[in-house]
Amino acid sequence: MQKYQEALDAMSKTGTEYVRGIPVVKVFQQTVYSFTAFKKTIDAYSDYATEFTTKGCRLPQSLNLTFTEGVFTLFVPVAFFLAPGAMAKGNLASFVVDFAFYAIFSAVISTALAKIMFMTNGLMTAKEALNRIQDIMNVPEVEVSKSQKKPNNNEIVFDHVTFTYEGANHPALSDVSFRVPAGSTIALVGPSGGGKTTAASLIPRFMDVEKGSVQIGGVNVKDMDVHKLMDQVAFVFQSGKLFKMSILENVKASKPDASRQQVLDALEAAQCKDILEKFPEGADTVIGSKGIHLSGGETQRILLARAILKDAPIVVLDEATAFADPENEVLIQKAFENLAKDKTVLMVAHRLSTVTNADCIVVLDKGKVVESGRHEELRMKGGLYAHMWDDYKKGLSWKIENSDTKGKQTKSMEREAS
Amino acid sequence: MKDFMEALTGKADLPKLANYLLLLGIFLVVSLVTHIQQYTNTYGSVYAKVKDVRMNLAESLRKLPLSFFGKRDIADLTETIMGDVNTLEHVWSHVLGYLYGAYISTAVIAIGLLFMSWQLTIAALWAVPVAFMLLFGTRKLVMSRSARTRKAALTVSDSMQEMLECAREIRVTNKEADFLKQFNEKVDTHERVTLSGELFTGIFVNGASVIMRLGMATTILAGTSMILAGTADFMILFMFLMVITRIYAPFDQSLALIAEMFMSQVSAGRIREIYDTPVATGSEDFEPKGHDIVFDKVSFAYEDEGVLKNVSFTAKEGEVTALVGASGSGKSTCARLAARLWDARSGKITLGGVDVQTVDPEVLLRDYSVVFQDVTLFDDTVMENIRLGKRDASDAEVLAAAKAANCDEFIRNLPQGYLTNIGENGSKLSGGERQRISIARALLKNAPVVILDEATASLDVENETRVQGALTRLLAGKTVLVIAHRMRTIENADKVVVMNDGRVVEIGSPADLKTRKTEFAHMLQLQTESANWVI
Amino acid sequence: MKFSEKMKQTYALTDVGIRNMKKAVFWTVIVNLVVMGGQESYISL
Repeated sequence: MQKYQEALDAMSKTGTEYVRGIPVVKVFQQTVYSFTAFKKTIDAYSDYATEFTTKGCRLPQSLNLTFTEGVFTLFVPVAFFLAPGAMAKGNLASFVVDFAFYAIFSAVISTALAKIMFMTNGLMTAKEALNRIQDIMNVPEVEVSKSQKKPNNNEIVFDHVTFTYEGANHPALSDVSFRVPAGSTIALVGPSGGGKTTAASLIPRFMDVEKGSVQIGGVNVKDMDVHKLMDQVAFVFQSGKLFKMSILENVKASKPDASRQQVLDALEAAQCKDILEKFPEGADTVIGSKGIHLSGGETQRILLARAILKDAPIVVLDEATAFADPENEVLIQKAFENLAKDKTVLMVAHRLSTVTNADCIVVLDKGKVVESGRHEELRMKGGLYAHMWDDYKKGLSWKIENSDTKGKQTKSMEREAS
Repeated sequence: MKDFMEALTGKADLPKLANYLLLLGIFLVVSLVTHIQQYTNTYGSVYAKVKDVRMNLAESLRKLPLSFFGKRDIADLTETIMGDVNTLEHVWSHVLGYLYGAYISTAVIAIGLLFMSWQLTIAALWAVPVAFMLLFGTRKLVMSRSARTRKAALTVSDSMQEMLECAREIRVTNKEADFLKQFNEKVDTHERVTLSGELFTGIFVNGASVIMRLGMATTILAGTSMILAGTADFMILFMFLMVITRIYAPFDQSLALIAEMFMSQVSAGRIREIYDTPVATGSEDFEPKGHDIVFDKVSFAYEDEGVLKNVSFTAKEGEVTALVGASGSGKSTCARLAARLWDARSGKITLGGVDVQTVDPEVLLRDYSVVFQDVTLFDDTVMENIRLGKRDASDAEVLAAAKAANCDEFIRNLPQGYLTNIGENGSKLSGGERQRISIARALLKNAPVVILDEATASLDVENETRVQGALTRLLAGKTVLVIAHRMRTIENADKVVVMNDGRVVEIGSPADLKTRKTEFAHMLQLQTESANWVI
Repeated sequence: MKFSEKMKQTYALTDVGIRNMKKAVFWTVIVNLVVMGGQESYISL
C-alpha cells in the first residue's frame, strides 16, 4: 500500500516538472518518450499497480467474493445434518420455514460485507495518510529559549559561526566572525555560493548555527523572543513574495497600526508612485487577483516600502537589483538610500559598485572570511576583493560581439596595410 | 428446497447430502473462476490502459502551442494529467464494467422471471427503474455539490501554497497568527461544505437504494395475496423472494460510486479539451535560404491586449541584433514569435525567406537555441540536464558545452560532479549556477539561430564576464537575437531595435543611436546613473 | 457503433478501453448469473 502511494507521488512530482518544463521540452525537441523521468514514473506506477492488483489482490478478492456470495452453500450440509432430527421430532415444517428464512436472509450478508470492505479500504488509506502527517509533525521545531532577553543596543555580532546545511559535505560557513557597530553599514561580498545569503539568513533564525553565535545588542538571537527579534530587524530578501492582499495591507504587514498616510509616505519613499498610478485602485489594488501582476523590480520596491514603514533600527537586506531593468534599478537604489539612513545595515551585495562606501566590507569565500576592511584598503591588498573589483570593471565594458565582424574588420585593416 | 417440501408433504424421504455436495463443490469452483476473470478484466486491465492515456495526454500537451499554457495554470494542467486520469481510472475499474454488467444480467434474469409469473416480476422489479430515474434525474444537483466541495478544497490548498511560499515573509512580519486564523477559517468552511455535500449526495444515493429494496415488500404482499387467491404456490414465492433479496447486490458497488461516475464526466471533458485544442501545424519540408529573421508588420495580442503593433525589423545571419526596451514593451514576445512558440495575429515572420508559420514547429525548432529568462531545469543529473540540448550528445560534447558556459568548475565541486542530482527545478543550485547550466544546454545544441532572453541577468560579475567571453566565440556566424536590459551588454551589437509599448521606435547601430537624441541614449544614461550609485 | 462512440466521449475511453470494458461487462454478467443460478438451485433441487 505504501509503495503504491509512493509510486503515485513520484508520478505526480515528475508530472508537475514536465508540465512546467514544456517550453524547454518543445525548444529542445524532446518528446514525452525521451523525457524519461516522467515516462519512468508513469510506467512504474502502472506496472506496480497492475502487479499489486493481479498478484496481490486478485486471488484474495475473488475468493472473498466467492465465499460471501456462496454463504448459502454452508447451509446445505448443516440443513441436511439437522433435517433428520427435526423430522423425527415432527418439527420438519417449522424447520423448513426456518431454513427458508435463512436462505432468503443470507442475501443481506453479501451487501453488508461489501460495505464493510469499502470502509476497511477507507481506513487503510486514512492510516497511510496519518503516517505521513506524523512524519511532518515529528520534525523538530525552532527552539525557543526560556530566557527571553532583550538586546542592549543595535549592533550585530557574528561570533565564530559555523553552519552546515543538512546533507552537505562541507560547512556553508566556517568560523565566521565580524562585528557591525550600531549605525554603521557592513557589506558581505564574495563569489556565488560563498555563504553570504546563508549568513544573512541566520539572523532571523531561519536556520540555527552549529557552533558559535549570532548576537544582536550583545544577546544571542537564540535567547531572544522570536517575535521581538523580528520587530527589531527589518528584512528584505532576494525574490521576496507579496501576500495576496491589497498593496496597502502588504506594506502595513510590518506595522499593523500604521495610519493610511504613513503607509502612503513609505510607498513614496520607496519610489512606488508609478506602481500606484498603474492601477485604477491605486494602493487598494489586491495582489494576486486577475491580471494584477507585478514584476520582480516592482515587488522589490513594495517590500522596501514595508521595511521603510517598519522603521526598525537594524536592516538586513539582500541587494538583488541584478535582475531589474534600468528604470527599476535607479528607483530601487533611491529607495535603499531612504531605508538605510541612520540604521545598522547588513547588506548582501551582488554588485560591487554599491559597497564602495560601506563602513566595512567582509569577503566570504567558500564559507570563510578571507578579507575584511574598507574598499580602498582591500583594493590595495591585491587579494580576492581586488581581483573581483577588476573583473567587475572589465565586465562593465563588455559587449556582446560577433567575433566574425571583428575578424572582418581585422582582415580589412590588414588588407589596407599591405 | 423442493425436496424438503416434498418430504414435508410426505411425498418422499429426506433428501441425501451426497448429491448436493458435488453440485455445491462445482458451484464454488465455477464461481471462483468467473470471479477471477471478472477481476482481471476490471481492475487488472485498467492500469495498462491508464498508462497509455497519460502518455498520450502528455504528448498532446507538448504539441500544443505555448499560448495555450499562458491561459492556464500549471497546477490546473498537472491536475488534469494526474487527478483527472486518476478519477477516470477509478471509475473505469470500479464502476463501468460492474454497472453495465449489472444492467444486463438483471435484464436477463427479469426476462426469465417474467415467464414464471409476470405479476410477481413487476412487483419485484418496479422499483429498479424508479430508483435509477431518481439518481440520474438529480445528477446535476449532485454534480454541483461536488463542484462546490472541490472549490473549497482548492481554496484550502491555495492558501496552504501561499503560506509555504511566503513562509519567510510571514515569519519576518510576525503574521503567523493572522495567516493561521485565516487558514483555519478556510479549513472549517471546507469541512462544512464537504459534510453537507456528502449528506446531500448520501440522501439521494441511499434513497435510491432504499427505493429499490421496496420491491421486497411489494413482492411479499403480492405473493402472499396470490397464494391466498390460489394463483401461485409457495415455491414460486420462495423463489421470487430469493431472487429479490439478491438482485440488487450487483448494483451495490456501482451505486456507492455513482457520484464519482458523474464527476468523472467532468474529468473526461477536460481531457477531451486538451485533445481537441488545435495544434500548430505546418509543412515538414523546410529549406531556408540562409538564416535571416525578418519581421514584417507583425501584430500580436495576448488576451485582447495588443502586445505587438505593426512590428518590422530584420535580424541578419552572422549579426547580433538586440531588442531593448522597458519591461512589457514586447521584446520577449518577439523572441517567442520568432521561434514560433506563439503564432502572430497578422503580418509575416520569415526565417531564411520561409514564413515560419508554414513550417511544422518541430521541424522549425531544430534550427533554434533558446535561453529563457526563467530557467527551467529538471530533477536529474547535471549531465542529463545539459544533454537535453542535444539528445545523443556524447559526454565529451556535454563537458565542452559546460566549460564554455563556465559551469565546469562548480560542477566538479559538487558531491558527485556531473552525476549530481540538482533537485526539483535545479533547486540545489544557486540562481547563477542554474542560468549557466541553461546556457550550456543551449550551446550544446549549436543551432544556427540563437535567442538569448536576458541570459546573463542572474549572473554575478565574474561569471558574467567569463560567460560573455565564451558566448562571443560561440556565436560567430549565427543569427543572434538578444533581449537585454543592460545597455552595456549590447553596445557592440550590430543592430539595436528599440521597442516601446509594442511598437518599434528606433532601429540603428548602437554607435549611431548613442549620438542622437534617442530613447536609446536616454536608457543608457539611466543605466550609467544607477551603475554609479553607491550606498 | 453509436454506443461505443458515446462511451468514448463521456468517459474518455480509448479503443482498447472499449474492448476492455466489453470484456468486463461480459464477465460481470457471467458472474452475476452464476451466483444467482447457484442460489436458485435451492429451489429446483
